[in-house]
Amino acid sequence: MKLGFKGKLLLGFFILLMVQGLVIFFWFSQAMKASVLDEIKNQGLSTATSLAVGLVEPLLAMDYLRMKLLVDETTRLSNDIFYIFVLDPEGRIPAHTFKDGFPVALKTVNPFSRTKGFSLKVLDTGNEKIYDYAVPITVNQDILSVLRLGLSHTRAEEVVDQVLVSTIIIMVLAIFLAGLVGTLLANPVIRSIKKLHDSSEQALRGNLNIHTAPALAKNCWDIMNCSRTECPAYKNYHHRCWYLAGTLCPTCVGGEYAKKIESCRKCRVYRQCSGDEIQSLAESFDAMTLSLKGNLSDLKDAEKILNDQKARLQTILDAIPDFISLQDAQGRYISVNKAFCEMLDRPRGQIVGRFNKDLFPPIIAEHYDDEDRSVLSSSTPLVKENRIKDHRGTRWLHVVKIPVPGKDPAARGLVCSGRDISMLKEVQDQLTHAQKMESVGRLAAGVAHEINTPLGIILGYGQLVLEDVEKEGQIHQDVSAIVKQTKICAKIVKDLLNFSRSSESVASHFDIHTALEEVMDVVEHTFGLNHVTIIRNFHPSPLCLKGDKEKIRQVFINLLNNAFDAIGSNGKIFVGTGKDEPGSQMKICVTDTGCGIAKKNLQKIFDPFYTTKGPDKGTGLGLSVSFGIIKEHKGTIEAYSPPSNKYLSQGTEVVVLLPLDNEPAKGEQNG
Amino acid sequence: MAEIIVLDDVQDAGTLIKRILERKGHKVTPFTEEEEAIAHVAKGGTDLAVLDIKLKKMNGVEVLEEMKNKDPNVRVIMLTGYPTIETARESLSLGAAAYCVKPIDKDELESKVEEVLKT
Repeated sequence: MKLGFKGKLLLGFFILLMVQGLVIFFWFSQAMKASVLDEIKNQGLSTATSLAVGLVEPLLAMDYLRMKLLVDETTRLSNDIFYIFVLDPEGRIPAHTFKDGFPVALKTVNPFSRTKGFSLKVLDTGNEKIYDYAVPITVNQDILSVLRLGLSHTRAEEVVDQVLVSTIIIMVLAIFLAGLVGTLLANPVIRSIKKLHDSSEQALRGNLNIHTAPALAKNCWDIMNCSRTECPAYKNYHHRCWYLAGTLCPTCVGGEYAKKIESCRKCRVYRQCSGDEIQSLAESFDAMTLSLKGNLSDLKDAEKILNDQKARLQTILDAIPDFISLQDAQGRYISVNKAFCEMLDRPRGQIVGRFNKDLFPPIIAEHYDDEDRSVLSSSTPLVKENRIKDHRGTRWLHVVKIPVPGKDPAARGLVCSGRDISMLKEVQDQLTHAQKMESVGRLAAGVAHEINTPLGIILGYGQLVLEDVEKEGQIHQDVSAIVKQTKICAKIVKDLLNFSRSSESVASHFDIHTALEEVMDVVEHTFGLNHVTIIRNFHPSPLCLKGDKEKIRQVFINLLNNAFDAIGSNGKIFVGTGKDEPGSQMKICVTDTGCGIAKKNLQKIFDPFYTTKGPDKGTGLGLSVSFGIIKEHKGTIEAYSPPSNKYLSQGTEVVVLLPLDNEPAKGEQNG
Repeated sequence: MAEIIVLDDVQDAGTLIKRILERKGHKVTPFTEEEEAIAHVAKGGTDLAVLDIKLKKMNGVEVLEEMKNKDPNVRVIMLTGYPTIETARESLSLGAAAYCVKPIDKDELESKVEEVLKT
């Protein structure tokens, strides 16, 4: 069984009293025993000595009867005297108290010693222990005889035993009484300790509204005759004013307990209200819980702010499309954002606290570890482009690893951020391709320009030769082939020159009607010779466009030429403009009454080098270039055959949609 | 028969045009130098000038402008390797009667010349 504080206190008290009692008892009994025995011995010696004085006279007078009377009388004085006898120098016994005859052996057992003046010896009869005194009967220094007196030793011990029993009883009573008094005195202390214990248990359970200190008869506001309700100590029955910060008493020093307590000790409130150590303990405990409550409240507020900030930071990090991670000096992931989790296709809980080897295949993890160690040891950031293959396919990442410096190794780490640059890479590739194409275009244009003149000369002289030879002859046929193929070459050169020019852009604001009119001015005459008429159906107000006017004109010259080629002769080309349904785009339709395009070929007409015209007429670059130009102007181009116009049973309609520009056209400023 | 001059920095090209147009009965004088051609026109009597746009020192449009200054009655056909609308428009606006795209097609040149000379 476990003893409580009270039990331990009483047990300790009891043991202390017992030990103390036993020590006292032992010491007292020994002293008492020695004292009683000494007293008995002295009494025996005294009796023997006075009897020896009294026997001098009868001995000198040889009055044996009187001697006998004296020894008998002395024997009767005390029950403790066993025997008395007188032994003369000749060994005779003139008087004795033995009724059954004198035991001769007694004569020699205790010889008288002259040096000491008497002799004492303890005789053991088997039943009794006897103090045997040998005292001389002397006259003027002459020893007449020796008086022997036997005193009961056992009787003396009985007396001692009685005294000891009494002592034990008194001691037990004293222990009991001391225990009783101790309990009465310990009870208030134990009650206070129990209350403190209960309060601390309450505090441990989270209840800090506890009041351990007892209420005071008079509080600070009574003593100081104060009525300042704004003072934290006013009407505060549970906390002493010297423990409270911010009290408004004129004698108070500002600040916390540690600052003000020295001055408070001199205050009369303190002198009157402060109690014993137990009360002080309870009061300081109450003050401590109050302070703890305040600190806990501050801590909770701080924790809330910290959590809010943490959540805000995490929200920001998660909103960033780049992946971000933080590793400690050992390479353990401490924090990651949403993009990082998505990249690894794992929840945050499965990443934080782990290492590269837990998240990546062994070879990649080892490579990353080497990089991380290098960045940490050199304290130099690492920038690289990384091609990764994950559940979302192959991607390019721009990765930056930055060391986090710190004197404390525990604070050191590594921040890694990565951005998906797949699209950028794609654009870069496209740009490279475009640059390559431009270079090829320039080269082609240069070559085309250079061969244009000699080609013209070959063609011209060929045509002259054709006139000079017989039409039915072999030479005519051969030169015809030369002229025909040279014309094809001339067409290719022309398209190549157009193609090369499509890469340069000069932006301006212009009305599409102006551009269309300029194009039609150029071609209308030629078309007219073949009885092909252009019919305009323009929107009443200007439709402005921001773009390269020359390129846009090139598109429509291609479309009109295609329409003309599709018709051949005797036909109509309708050129209409308007706004599309939402009104954010302009719509330009070029419709012809020509032969039309087969449905299966409609999808291919914008592909480079695709042509439905004969080998001597088209290179398949015209519509491809037009498609590129319209796309460059953020527009669309589509072809329908037959046209959407219900009045036309055959032909082709090309619809171009281009974004409308709200800025007014600047005429020919840049065009 | 018309008095025609041809200005092309490539001599063979000029000769070719001369040969084509002479067959049609015209008197053709080819030039490779801009100044000489302009001086010839300045003398008067030239019905038609066939000018290449790309020349050694000047461009064809400048030569056209110069010739028109010297002789406003001279008719001009421009030859161009870059058939841009802009060049065509500029040429026409400065008084060129027509333009042909290089490489020159004999039939096209003949019809253009006859067309221009009729005006």
